[in-house]
Amino acid sequence: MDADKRASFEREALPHMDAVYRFALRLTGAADQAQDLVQDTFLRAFRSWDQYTPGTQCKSWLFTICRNLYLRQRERGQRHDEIVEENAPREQGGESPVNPLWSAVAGTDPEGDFFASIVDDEVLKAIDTLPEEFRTAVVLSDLEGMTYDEIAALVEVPVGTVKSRLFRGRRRLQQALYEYAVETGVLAANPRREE
Amino acid sequence: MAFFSRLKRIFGGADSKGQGPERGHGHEHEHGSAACQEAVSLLYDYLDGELTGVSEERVKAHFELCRMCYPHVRFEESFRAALKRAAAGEAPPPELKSHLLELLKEA
Repeated sequence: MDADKRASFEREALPHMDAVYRFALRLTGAADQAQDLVQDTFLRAFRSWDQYTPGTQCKSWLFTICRNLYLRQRERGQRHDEIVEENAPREQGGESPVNPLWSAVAGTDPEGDFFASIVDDEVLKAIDTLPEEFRTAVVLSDLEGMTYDEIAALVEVPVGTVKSRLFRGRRRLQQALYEYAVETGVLAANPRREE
Repeated sequence: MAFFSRLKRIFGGADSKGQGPERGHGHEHEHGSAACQEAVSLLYDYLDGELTGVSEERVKAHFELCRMCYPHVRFEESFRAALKRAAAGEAPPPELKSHLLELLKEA
């Protein structure tokens, strides 16, 4: 019995280790902490393996465990995130579907080529500085390709909240990358850009 | 009609907030047509593959044919590509898996 359990766990759960590691890395922001978190996640998952429904999204299940462990650790004060006001109606630039940053660079770089010239480390750093709620949504959607429904189930919020977090998280991230591009001279500062 | 007036309200508000004094300088996409307004409001859903109640083909056709909207789509795609590229290089150290297997044996 135990051998069966171990075999099915290794067959179904372990292949997701790289994905869980990537997720853990974005949550913790540090490789050593991410490795610890991955280990804790898989140990917890193994102990709870009989609660996993075979055939369901194993990756989502592992991510849920990973995130819950991370949040519990964070409560103990390992990392302090900005508290996001969920219903804050207006982020910079408002909620206009027309991306204000795009409007600002439309004259010089309308297709956002500057994003391609930002080095990987800076992109990752920008992701890591997002508040956890936004970061998780962006990572799960843009890096892991999860659907709104999958993210909503994982994070236990309504789909509308997922969409709002994605919207705000992406725009914050774009703004951070834009500022980096301007600082490093990749992109000329647009004098007409509005704050 | 109700949908159109709702869009107009949304976009009208955004325009007056974000770009009021700057309009007419030439480069801003004013999203004049209702089709543009509708398409751009669906941009994230479209790129996320999450359109509901709207024909994906129709939205796609608009983005591909509209000279004004096309760069907007490209901008968002370029952003997403940068995120994917940055994260793609990240893999756990090889010893993590063997270590994990050891831990599981003891579990």
